Amino acid sequence: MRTERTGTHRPGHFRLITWIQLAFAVAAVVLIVYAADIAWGDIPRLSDGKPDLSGYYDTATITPFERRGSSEEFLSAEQAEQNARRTALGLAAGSANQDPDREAPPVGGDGSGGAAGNVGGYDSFWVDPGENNFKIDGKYPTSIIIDPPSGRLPEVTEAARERRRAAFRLGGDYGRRNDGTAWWYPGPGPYDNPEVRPYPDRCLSGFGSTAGPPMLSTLYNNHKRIVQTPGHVMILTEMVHDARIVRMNGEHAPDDVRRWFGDSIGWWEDDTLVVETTNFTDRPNFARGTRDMRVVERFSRLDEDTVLYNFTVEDPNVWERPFTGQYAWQQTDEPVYEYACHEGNYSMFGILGGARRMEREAMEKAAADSGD
Amino acid sequence: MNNLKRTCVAALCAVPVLVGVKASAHHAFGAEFDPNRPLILRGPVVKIEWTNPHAWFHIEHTNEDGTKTVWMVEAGTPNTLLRRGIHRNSVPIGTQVVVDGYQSKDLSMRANGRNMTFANGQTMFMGSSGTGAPRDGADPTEGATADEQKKLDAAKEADSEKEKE
Repeated sequence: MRTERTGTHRPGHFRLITWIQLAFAVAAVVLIVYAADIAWGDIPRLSDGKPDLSGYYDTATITPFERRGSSEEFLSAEQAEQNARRTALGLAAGSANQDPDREAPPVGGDGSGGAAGNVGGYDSFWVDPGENNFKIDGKYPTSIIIDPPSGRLPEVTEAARERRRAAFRLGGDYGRRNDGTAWWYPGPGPYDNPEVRPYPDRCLSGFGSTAGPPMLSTLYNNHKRIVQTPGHVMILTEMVHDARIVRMNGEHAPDDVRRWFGDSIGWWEDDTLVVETTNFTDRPNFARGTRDMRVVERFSRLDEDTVLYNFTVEDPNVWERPFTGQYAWQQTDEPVYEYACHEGNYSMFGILGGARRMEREAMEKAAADSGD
Repeated sequence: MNNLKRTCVAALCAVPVLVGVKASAHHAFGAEFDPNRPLILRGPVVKIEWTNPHAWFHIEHTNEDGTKTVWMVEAGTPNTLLRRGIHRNSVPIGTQVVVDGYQSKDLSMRANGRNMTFANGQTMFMGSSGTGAPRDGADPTEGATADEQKKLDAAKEADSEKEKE
């Protein structure tokens, strides 16, 4: 800014013109800061200017992974509200008061299906699958999958179909047939060791692809925590404290290195964090995929309370084409509690101990029978 | 550190009935609990473990012969319980509860606690549905709601897919 100097300089006394220039300078600075604030919006940012994704999130949603029934792309606001009310009603009903003088449930099981396995289990007291549909830009999508436009997974390759048919022919629990070793076991598979149980039962990784990638909403423990630094982004999944580490601007590990959550590298495209994951094992968390799966996730902020989680999955071994899905992660004040999975894994004792008891009983019975 | 020592006691061999379940999902209740050993527990809470993913309620049950046995019953996650209005001070030690469920297959003192209430039958759920009226004529011991069942089915399918590969 050019300062005019005319005539004699009188010390201690500013000229009027200098005051005006000063006023303009201050106004200009204020305008620049204001404009910058509008351009950047109310998104929190780190000192390097990148959006700050750090925080705790509740990723639960009642919106299904694939579109069901109607081919509508969005719910109306009334439908979304109705869904929320229905969910709340179900929760209340599932937690209704009981008869204080009730008797034990029936011998032979109570007939409950699904994971409750005829003995009952996951009622409202247990589950936290979400309370409402997620909203993006004021609209309520009817599915997490947005491409294909049908909201459903793409066609499966013939090779994948054949693999599933082969597994189905094996039959039984997890495709494992009782090979005769556990002759005493009436079910499909001998529970001889922990390694025949799925990862969640072994406290190795969560179910429902909660850590993925891609990371999906599941029955409970839907909290996530993101810690972001310039060099790495860490995404902690509450269930089994699965922690994914994304190396910013890194390179993928060699092809013979396989990781439980795949190998993730990240970079910024404007205000979007892009994460590419490859190098999966033969049992990725997203169980429909194979070791050759490639997942590209995009994290961006919709506002200071919401992160948009978008993902594209391709696996030529399984699907004819890639598919894309997205949903909103809500910032939450609820923390991710420490996950003491192994310490509280009494379930494994019950499952394997129960199998050993049945084995002993069968052997004693066989011995008694042969003695007749 | 859990130091359970189980002594397998010879008893009637119960055949587990996996009703319509080709592949069990997480926790595999059908694999862990015995549908032929139902029980009803009544007694004070003597200990609560507030752990993630499951809180554990220890309940002292008085047997028919007057002896007392402490049973362990599983509950929800801390965040789930908090949303239901239950925090670590909601159920003081000594609170009388009633639990019906099925015993663990290894015959340990563990049950799946399919219905845990206070002694008067009142549910532990203290959150508000926000809608007022409960489902008329609904049997609260029915299985999951439609949305919960979808999640259960998805989890089951995901696990079964994984195991098939």
